[in-house]
Amino acid sequence: MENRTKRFKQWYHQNLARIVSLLLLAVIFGLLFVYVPYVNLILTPSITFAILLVCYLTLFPATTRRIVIGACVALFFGFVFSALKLDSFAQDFGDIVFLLLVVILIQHVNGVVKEKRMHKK
Amino acid sequence: MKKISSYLLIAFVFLFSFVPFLWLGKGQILLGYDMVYPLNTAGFLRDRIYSWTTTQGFDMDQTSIQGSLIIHFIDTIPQFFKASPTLSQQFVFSFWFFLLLLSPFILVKRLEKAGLIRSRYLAYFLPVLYAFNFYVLQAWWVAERTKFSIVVATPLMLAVILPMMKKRLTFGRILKSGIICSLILTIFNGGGWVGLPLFGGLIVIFVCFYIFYIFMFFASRQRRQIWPLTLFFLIFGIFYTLLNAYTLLPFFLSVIRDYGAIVTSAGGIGGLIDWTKYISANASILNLLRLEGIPDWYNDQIFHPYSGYYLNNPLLIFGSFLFPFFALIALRVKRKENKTTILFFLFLLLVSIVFTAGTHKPLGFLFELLMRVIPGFAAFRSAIFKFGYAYWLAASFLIAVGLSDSIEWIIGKKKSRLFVSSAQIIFPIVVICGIVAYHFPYLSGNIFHIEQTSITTRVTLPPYISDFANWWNKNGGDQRVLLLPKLNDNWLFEQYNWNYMSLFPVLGNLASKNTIENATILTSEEKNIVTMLYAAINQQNFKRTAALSQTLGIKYFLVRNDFYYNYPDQETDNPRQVLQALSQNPDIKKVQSFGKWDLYALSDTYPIVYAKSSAIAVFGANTSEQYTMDNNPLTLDNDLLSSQSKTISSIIISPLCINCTLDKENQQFTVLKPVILLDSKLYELIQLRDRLFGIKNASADENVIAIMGETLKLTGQLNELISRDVDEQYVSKARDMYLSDLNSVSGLLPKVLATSQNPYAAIFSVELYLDSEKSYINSILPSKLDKKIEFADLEKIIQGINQLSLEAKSLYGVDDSSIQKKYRIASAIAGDYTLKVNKNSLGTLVDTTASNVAITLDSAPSISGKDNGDYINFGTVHVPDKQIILTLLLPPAKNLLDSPTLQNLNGQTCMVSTLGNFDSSKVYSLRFRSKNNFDSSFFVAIDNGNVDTTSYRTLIPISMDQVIDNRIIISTQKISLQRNATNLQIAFCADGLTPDIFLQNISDLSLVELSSPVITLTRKTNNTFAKLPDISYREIDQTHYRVFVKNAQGPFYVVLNRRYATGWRASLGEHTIGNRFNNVWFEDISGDSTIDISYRPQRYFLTGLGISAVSLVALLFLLWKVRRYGK
Repeated sequence: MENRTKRFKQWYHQNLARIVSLLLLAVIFGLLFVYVPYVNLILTPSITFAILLVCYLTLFPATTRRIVIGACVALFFGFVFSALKLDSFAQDFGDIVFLLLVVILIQHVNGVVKEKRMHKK
Repeated sequence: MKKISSYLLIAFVFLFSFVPFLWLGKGQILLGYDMVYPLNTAGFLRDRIYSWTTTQGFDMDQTSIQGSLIIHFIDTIPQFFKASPTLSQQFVFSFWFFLLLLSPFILVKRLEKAGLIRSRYLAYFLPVLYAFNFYVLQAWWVAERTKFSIVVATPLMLAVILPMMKKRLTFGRILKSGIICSLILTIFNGGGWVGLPLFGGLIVIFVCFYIFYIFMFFASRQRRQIWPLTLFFLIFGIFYTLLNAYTLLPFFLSVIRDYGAIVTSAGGIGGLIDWTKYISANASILNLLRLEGIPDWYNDQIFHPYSGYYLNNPLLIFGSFLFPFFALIALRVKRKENKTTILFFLFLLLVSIVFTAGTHKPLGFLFELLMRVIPGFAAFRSAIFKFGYAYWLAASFLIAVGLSDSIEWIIGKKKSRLFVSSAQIIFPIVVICGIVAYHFPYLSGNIFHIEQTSITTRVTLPPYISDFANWWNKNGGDQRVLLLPKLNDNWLFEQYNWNYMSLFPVLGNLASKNTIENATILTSEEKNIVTMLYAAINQQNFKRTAALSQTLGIKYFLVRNDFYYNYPDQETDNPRQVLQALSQNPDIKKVQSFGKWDLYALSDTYPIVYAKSSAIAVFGANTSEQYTMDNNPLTLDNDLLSSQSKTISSIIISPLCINCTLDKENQQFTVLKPVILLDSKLYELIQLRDRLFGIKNASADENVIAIMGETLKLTGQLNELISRDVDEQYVSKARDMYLSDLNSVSGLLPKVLATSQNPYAAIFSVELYLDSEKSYINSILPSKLDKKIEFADLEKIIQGINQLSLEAKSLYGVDDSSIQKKYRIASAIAGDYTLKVNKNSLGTLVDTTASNVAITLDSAPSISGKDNGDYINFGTVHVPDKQIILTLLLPPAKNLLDSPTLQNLNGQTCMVSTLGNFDSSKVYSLRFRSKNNFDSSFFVAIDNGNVDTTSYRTLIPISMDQVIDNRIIISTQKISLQRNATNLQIAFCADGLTPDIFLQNISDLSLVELSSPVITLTRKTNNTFAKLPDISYREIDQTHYRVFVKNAQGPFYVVLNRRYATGWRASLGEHTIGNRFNNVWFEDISGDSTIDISYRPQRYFLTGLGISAVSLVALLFLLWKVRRYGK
């Protein structure tokens, strides 16, 4: 337990700048959304969420495996909401899966390109 | 062992090709809806080799569907071997099922051979997923072979181009690939160019392929490879064009020119986007990831044969989520082999899902933008159906890889050889069975219904239909047969009580020529004439029946006693009554009975080619007056009057009533809540947008309507501004803008009256706008009582509205339309005309005395009418050589309702009024003033008085606390009513309703008929050419006639009684349209001569066929030469 706390503290100090940046972005978007009139016409909740998710994945790059697991979790929630006939909630989770698939594609393409360049050298 | 298990699995997969054998019972075939299947093979194929078909309506061009020759050739093969229709379909469908399994199998095998994928069970799972899914299943409902054709072609082409990218692109490799791809797409061509939108998915695949590999070339610094890749598409395009010249040439030279007209007929781009929104309503990303989202599923899932299971059963819902789960598994596993193939399919999945989702959020705006910006993109309006197969292929590929990886992972965990060898067969078989079992409607065959009724595409064709078709093909000759009873005017479905329903005539499948009914393929002019003929038969007007039949070239009448005439909501004439009407006609005799079909014939009719010495010039709206003048009149439109004046025997003007339809529309204007208020800085942007994108160079009436639109928005602004307690200056500003707009309209109204083509429509709209706005302001006034300044502002606006309303009403009142019918007589030839009005078209009036009906021409004194049988005559009137307005002055319309009585209807207390002689072809207006001060559930019910037909009942709530002048349009077009009913019932219902309460709340109740009187102005000139020549003709084929003229002594007209098309060319004469539907040539020749009449696109077809044949031989030779390239 002590080790785990220690590791977490270490991770926290290492990533403080990123955590602050992410929270700052979340706050900025939240304030924009709530207090600036008509911004919510352009930045819908889905778009805001998508931007924050992309920011998160940029600040804390995850492995493809983790993103796939994330997508599976989103799928699970999609299933629960579909089974409960809450289709609009379920659709949002579908959109999240789509976004994660785009991220997976970008990661894979990066990998393949690096591989090809290495292969050429 | 490995080989044996592989062969076993292949055999197991392809065993599913025989699934269609489970669908058809003894004597059953698939037919109906969009399903066209040749049941007379030789006749059907013979017809398809011509660019002009005579198997549908008044004939039509079929250059866009000649590409379906290949698909229909496959259809006909079993029938050549004398297989029964059922067995033929089973073989044909199994063949397509086999191809659906084979093409993805070939794709995987080619990818494996090229080392692009290494996934042990992919070759077995992908074919099953690609053939068993809801996208393909939806197509099986009508056995959509055109779609299967493209669905088969797609993996085959990928099987060529993906391995091509494995090695360096050389000219030999791209040449070989280009030839193979063009051959594949020529064989599996999607049924011709009418199916062009089906290529949507293929285009997405090619674009993805190109972008993906261009990116890869850039990323791996192989930019030199970009040009060969581009060259491949160029070569492929050229070869494909050459091979398909036989359909491309006639299509581009004759059909594609009409794109604008097609878009307009579909309701413009806005109408098409609305359609896409409807189709894409449930194509969400999640539904598509679950391999669902087919529109039919969600429209009416209670009636859908299987969608209810998949949308409600938790187990099946869970099953649908396994598909995206396994697709994700495919992306998770670290691969040793080349990842590019997986990446390509992931890229394809992400792009194709956006297109397949159409206008559905979150990215639907992109699709809508493409529809608006790219000309022709609107063709892909049914997004899921046109792009779906590209998505389903990409998704199936990833799912199959995920499944295969999972099995390999499980098997890899165990060391036992026995377990491994048996699991290598059992596991894949279990998975395949699971996929097939999940799609259980394939096996149960319960896929051919679209709703709960008995109508299905799986039918047993009664033998008498084939008997009639055989008789007709042998004895019909060039004559036409009218099919009775007519189709329901709204739906135009051919529907039989043996469960068939389709927009396509059943006889079309049997290649029966010259069959006529009011089908969807008729032009509006053709439909008008055919509808007139149906009416003449029903009304037993023998003279008009004969004249119209002669004009249309109809000799036979086929009464179909098996017609499902009382199908709910699609009712039409009872065949028995039609039969009775025909049997009364002395000119018509029964020929023969074919089971439930009875054939009658007219004693005399005109041949398909004949000559006329004179014509009748017709101006304005549709008229039937010419059919009372001649037994086979030739009518020409007014534009020929000046050039052919010496041939005109009569001139008929049938002016269009420009205010008759105004009160038939339920125009309503709703005040919307504004998004941006006047006090916002952004409001200036709204104004800027309106200035930039507003209508430029608008006419006076367009300006008036635009300004009234502004006042409607300002009404909403005022309410919001006052409700939000914004600064008073903004309310005053809105008020001033509103009053200024009213002033502008007031200034423009006289200009509207002077310049507009239909000033009454604009003034009528202004009055409706003002009524809506006044009613809205009145409704919000009580809530603003505490805000004195704002209250005063609103009162000023009410005054302004009242003033403008009075001005508008002084020019033209809403109620004037029932007693003053306005007609515009445009560009007519000056002269004296006999004017008469058809009495039956006047509607039901308070006073029907002819002398109380009058006309005025512009401001001339009015002329009273005189009774003359079916008409009211107004004697001779002079028509000047300029545009004039003719006003028909009528007595007020009669209230058709009887006094309301208290009755108990379905447990409700109601005050009921009825109309005893209701006519479903007429339009009525129900008017009453209401205030509801006693019951929020007070409503008015409109129906035909049948207790058990609740689906034909319209309920309208009576609003509380407001006095409202209600106007409800009653017609079968506007509300749900039975077409065969003769009663109309209006019931005001509420708990505790008494006659006294009714009288307190409902006043001025009336029901009047809204009419469009038919006015005819006729002038006889009696010009004809001296003598008609002797005419005979020979039909070379259905696109070529040779006309022999003997002893011509002057000009005459040659009529070819086939639908008018510019493609019809004669070697002599001036081509024009006659009778508003057929081909006429003005011939100014004398003596003997021969005229060749042919359909030009057939020449393009033959030229194209030559190019295609030569190209095929050349490409096969080239392919043989380059066969070793790339090996």
